[in-house]
Amino acid sequence: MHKNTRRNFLKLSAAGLAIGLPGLSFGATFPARNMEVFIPTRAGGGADRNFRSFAGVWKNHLDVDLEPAFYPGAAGRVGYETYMGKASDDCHDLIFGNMGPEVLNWVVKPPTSFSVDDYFYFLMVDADPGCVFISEKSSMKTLEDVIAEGKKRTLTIATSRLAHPASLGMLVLANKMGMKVNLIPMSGGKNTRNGVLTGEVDLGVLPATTVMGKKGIKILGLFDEKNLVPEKMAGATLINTEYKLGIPPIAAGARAFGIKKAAADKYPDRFEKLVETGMKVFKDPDYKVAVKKAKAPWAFIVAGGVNECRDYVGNITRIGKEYSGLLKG
Amino acid sequence: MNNDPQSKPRNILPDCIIPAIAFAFTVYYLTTITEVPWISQASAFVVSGLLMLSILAFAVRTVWRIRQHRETCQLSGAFESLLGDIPTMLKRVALLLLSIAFIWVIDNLGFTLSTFIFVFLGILLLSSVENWRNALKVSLSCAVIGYVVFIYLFNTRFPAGPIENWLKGVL
Amino acid sequence: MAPELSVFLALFADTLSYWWVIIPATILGIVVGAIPGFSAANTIIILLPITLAMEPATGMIFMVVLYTASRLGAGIPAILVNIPGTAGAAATPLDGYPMAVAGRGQQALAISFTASVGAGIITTIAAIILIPWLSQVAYHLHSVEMIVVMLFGISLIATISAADKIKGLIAGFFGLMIGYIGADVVYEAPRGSFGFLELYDKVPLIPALVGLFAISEAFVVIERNTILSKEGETGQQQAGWGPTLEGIRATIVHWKEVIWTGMLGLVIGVIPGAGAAIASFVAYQQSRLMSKTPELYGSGHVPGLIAPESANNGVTSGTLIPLLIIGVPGGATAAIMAVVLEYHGVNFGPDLFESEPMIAYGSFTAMLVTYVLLGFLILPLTRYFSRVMVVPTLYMVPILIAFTLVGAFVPRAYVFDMGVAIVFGIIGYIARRTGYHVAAILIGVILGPLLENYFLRALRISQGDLGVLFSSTIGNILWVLLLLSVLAPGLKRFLTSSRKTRNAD
Repeated sequence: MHKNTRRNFLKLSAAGLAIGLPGLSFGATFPARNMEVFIPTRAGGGADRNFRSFAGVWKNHLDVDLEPAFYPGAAGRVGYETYMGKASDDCHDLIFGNMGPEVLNWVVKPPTSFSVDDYFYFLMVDADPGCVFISEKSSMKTLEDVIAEGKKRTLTIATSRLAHPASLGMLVLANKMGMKVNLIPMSGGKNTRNGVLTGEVDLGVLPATTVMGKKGIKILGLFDEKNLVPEKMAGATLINTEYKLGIPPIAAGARAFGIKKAAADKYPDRFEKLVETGMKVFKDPDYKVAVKKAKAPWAFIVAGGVNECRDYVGNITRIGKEYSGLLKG
Repeated sequence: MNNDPQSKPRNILPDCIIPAIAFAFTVYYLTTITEVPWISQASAFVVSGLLMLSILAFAVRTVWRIRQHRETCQLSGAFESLLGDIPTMLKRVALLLLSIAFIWVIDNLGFTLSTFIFVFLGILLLSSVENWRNALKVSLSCAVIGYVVFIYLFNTRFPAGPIENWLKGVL
Repeated sequence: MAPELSVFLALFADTLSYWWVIIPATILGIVVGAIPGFSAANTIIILLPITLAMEPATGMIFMVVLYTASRLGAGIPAILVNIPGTAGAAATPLDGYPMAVAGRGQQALAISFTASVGAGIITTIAAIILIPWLSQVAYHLHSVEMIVVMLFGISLIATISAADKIKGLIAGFFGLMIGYIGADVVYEAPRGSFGFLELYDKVPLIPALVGLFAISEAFVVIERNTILSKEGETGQQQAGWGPTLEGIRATIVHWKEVIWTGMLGLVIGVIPGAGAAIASFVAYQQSRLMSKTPELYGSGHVPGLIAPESANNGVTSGTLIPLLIIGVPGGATAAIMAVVLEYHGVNFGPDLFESEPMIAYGSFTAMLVTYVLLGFLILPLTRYFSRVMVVPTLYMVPILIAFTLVGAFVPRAYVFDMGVAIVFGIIGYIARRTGYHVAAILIGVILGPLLENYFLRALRISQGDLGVLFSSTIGNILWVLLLLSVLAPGLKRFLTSSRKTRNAD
């Protein structure tokens, strides 16, 4: 293939000359093509829903479409490895991930083909607080009951997976209150809910959206400093402040757009445009309509820029490292 | 399985391939779980133990049958019994290589074009070059139907190539 | 909670007014069911933009009909070309395909459809009546009980490998080991994955399925002119309406089989996380166990085809019950239905049957209407579907390989999965040529990970105490039943032989 390098070079130069003028304008107008967004989960889930409502409005500010490409597998690892391996450095390719569990992944087991510093999140779109929930049929009725019971015996606690911010919150609480807990990873929010509903485990921890307002389930506490949806989570204890856990609010679900560091460094103006237009979406009335239409709680929509994302990632990495032994099982 | 002492002993060598693959895979598998907690090892240990026992039983039975001259174990004839006579064997191997080539190029050529080429060459391979008219008809309809159903109607995220990109612009 | 008859009839009539959704969804369901990789679940995901735009009741009817019809569609390639389109149809070719090869494809299709429609109608009616009780099943079946349910399915490995037990066991245990590739549910330690991240979440099922069955078969049949055997080719000539009627008759003769395997499917369908694959394996195994002629199974025996088809249609109605009543989906498709209904703000629970009868009961009446419609629509098509069998292999084989590889691609959209299908194709080919049962391998691949998940969960809950396996009453009853079902064939043989000796004395 490399035999005719010189001839190929000439051919390429000719081609380059031919498209030279549009090539110049390529630099001037960004984005020059549709954006491709790598999503490290399955189509049809919560990330898909959030992405659709956000991208549906963002495209008006960017003047191009945002095309999702789903790469499910290995709790997000496949998506990130693919993004880091395949995405271009011209700021047209982004990743849309869930900062919480996916950053905890790297804490428990760092990625193999790239460094965690090779990409960063720059646009956070929601903050879904972690919550402790129980079946309405359970004999325990409040978080106080749970803590008291946890001091007497080992409680079984369903969670989506061990390396998850909701599990992390529970571990911090148990540690602080001297409770004995046994986290049971159920692989996925639905199984976690089912485990609690059918009485196989004592209680569960999950991002609030996945259990809020669900039949037969009562939310006892939130790993947060405020209850943003009091009508659906009446009487939920604000665990972080009530029990002085000494941790910042760590959303169990925090979806954000990320980009390769190399791309942002190479084209700071393009990156700037992404941040600027992205932030405009939150103020666009169409976005509120889109979120309402997708039946996602507007209260959890949190606009966050580069700094907010960096803080979140920093916090979760720090606490994650502290508990990494337990997160590994 | 051959109980008639008069008939020619059966060549058991091809029958050993699956146990051999299973054995090799199990050994490899066990090397990957040396570091994991015992609970993650438990199921695999039980099943690999049972598998090894079954393979051992198979080996013992084979040796027994070979000593009784009911089975033999030799290279000659093994390929034929596994892959068929020489022309069929060649067809099978060629078709396998063609299938591997199909998935090799699908990312670049796209679904429609690679399907067309694969089906066309596949038919020629199994019949003859003289059959090219029919092969062309069948492969063309496959590619068209596939495109219309999967990509146009169902919007499936199949690998896109020149044809998909061109049609996207046109449609 | 079971409705008054008059209410039910009114609902039935109401459902009929949705004919404009039901008819196209039925046809679409048959088509997507017949394409490997395109399960109802995938199709609903692909069509989400359309489904979400519909009214909740319309959307639900659309999904239910699609799901029901796809179940019948999946039987078509399973019987005719040995490719189960979904895991739920994995036991169908065991007896369906030998019939087709022998030139009785049309009969086999008619049997499969009649059994499906019959079992579907019966179990749907049963579901409506039994809703209050069936909805409680999920509360009593936890990890421990599920371990035993999975073992019921796995015990089929021993049954189908009757011809050569040792080879059967090697195939089955090999399948289980393959099923253990990937991260475990608790520690997420990647095991035996050859360093591929794509195998981290276990071996993808559809690629394994199409590889073991379809691709291996394609490589086997190239030495024949058509898929049919020599005798089959002469048999196929005389096709008319006769074989279809014969198939219907053969099924009606076995009406008891249809009912009890259908009901078995219904109960298994109610259990979250069990699903059509396990139901059809268990039904097949139990049917063979109860049979007076177990040795005929696997050679194109009518009850061997009726059992899995009745059971997987029983699952269809069962899977909706826990979803509608406690919001716990019984299977993958039900889980996606849940997403759609939740999107519309539908609140699950017993009061759903009062607040939204068109969604709650409507799902079941839609299913009934679909089954009746399918009866009229699909049975006449048997005559034409079975023509597939006479397509020369020189055309059939390349088309089969191309489209099944594409089917392997669909669920996750990874070209890698097409490679997985080829690897399983090679394993399947060698297995077929050397007398190892590919279905035994497949049972291991499907049920291995499920078994391990429940096992790990149970052990994690008990903090490593193995005694947990025998800690529940229902679990212990199931253990005894399992033991009986494993020992029964031997016991039966022993009793008959001792009776014979006694008679001889």
